[in-house]
Amino acid sequence: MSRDALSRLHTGVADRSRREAAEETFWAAIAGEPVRIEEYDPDLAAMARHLVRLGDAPLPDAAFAARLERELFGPAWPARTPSFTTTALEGPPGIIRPAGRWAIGPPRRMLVNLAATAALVAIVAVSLFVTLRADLALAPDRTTEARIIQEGIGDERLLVGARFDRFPDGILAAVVDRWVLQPGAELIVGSRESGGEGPSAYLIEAGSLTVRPDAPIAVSRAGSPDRVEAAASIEIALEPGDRGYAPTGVTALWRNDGVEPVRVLEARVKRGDVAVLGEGVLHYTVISESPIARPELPIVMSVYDVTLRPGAELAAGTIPGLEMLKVERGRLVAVDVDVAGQLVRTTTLGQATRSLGSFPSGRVFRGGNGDPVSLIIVTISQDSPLAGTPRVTG
Amino acid sequence: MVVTPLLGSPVVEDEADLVARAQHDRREFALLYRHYLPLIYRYCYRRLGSREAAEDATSQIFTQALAALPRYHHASFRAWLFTIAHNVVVDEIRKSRPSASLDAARELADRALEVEGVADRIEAEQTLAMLMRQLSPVQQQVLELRLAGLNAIEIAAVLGRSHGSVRNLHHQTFVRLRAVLGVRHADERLEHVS
Repeated sequence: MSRDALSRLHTGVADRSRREAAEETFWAAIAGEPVRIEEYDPDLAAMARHLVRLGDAPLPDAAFAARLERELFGPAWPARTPSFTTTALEGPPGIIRPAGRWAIGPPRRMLVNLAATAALVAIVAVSLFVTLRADLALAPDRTTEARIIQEGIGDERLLVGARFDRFPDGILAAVVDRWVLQPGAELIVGSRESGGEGPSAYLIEAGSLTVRPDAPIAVSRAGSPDRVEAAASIEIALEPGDRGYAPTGVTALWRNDGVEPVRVLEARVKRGDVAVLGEGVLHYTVISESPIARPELPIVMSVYDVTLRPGAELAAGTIPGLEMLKVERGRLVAVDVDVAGQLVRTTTLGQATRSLGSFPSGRVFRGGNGDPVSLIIVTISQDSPLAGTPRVTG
Repeated sequence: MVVTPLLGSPVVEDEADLVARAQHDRREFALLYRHYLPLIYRYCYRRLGSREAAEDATSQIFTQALAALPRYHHASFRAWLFTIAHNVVVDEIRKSRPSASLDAARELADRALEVEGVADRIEAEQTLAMLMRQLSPVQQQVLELRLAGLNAIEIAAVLGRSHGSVRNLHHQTFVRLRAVLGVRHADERLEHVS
């Protein structure tokens, strides 16, 4: 074989192996593996990104996930921490008794069992009470802290923010809701039956809300960073600007005793169940449910109302814990660039556009026209949300 | 950040052990369920095109998996679960044909437009459903299973084909995708320029 032929053969083999490697890397990228496909071919990388984007599909609805889990495994959850999460489950204690034990046991054993059960119930009740009190004491008030006043941010307001320490069993979802109670309307919140089991922080936006919790909750009055405890079974009236904080396990009755509608903005991490609404109660989802993995404890969930000045930019990567974003007013453009700073795509988000729940690295937000843009930003983080300095240019 | 999306975030470190325990105690399967639910649901959603259909199929898949778990003896739990998913989805598509494909395409198109917005309309109009129509059924399955995160060996198990056959399928799908999307290989571009 001549030298030229040998050289061509080597080149052909090298090309083929390079193409095969590029193809394998392409498929790995499609499968979501962290591969550096750009090194092979930028256009191939763009094709992979395009396909992954086209193949994007929503996560399962949290209510569906919880319902199916109940159907498959029943109400008794495995009282064991999943190996892939780090926190303990809080469901039923998982005590399994042989069928018919109470009926066939001798009277003395029954009395002993009853006494033991009573003692156990008492211990659990005291523990629960102490835990709930501890939750209230541990949760600092973050409702007056402003975090991202920067050049380009015309206005920023922390609507609600709280540290959540404990979570209900099952599939969890983060959600921001707005409730409207017409005069005379009632709503039970926080219970599994009401579809709202889980820690909650809420802001009274309008009207006067009467709250009667079945266990202590914390409240803060408008303009005050201090929290006070609202006792169990005692009604308390919350006015516009007041906030309430309810840990997991606390059920409360909300009632509108006034003549004007009550409007409440609520941020919570909840079990995915479907709420049953009473007469005169309206429910709007400010930001739709986002299924989340069981978090390490505690987390801080915060909801901000942010106004972006015309021409200003906000980099998603500079907002720690950015979980969800929704355009309230105006038009927002999300600009995605790759690692080399090249423009990948732009996405326009109008008021009617679905909110965002994922944020690729390199994404920058800017106003879509000459008007300010009003945003709802939700962060979930281990420590202070939005404590970093967003890169904002005017 | 301590809270991460469900998809892909939990890592089952000892899945084989977990599966073995689940074969004797169905409650242990709940852990696998939580891990695989987003993957299975999104696979169904991509194939069936609507939330309702995806939820129905997902319910069937996990119900069948739970019932069949005592007989499970495969090498890969993920491949086994996706084999069930593949069969359920194929049945659903067969049952709902032809209206479902039209509905699915329409819904996907609507969804793409909603998510992308008018500024990126051209790209949004090219939905996955439209792209899939340019592929053969088996090429579609390869792409869908890849998007679900499976590797070539697992896809071979799901489709009941040899590894070599699936490698060829991958290559054919790759070539077809490049042609459909108008992406030429870097070498071809160089040849064209020269």
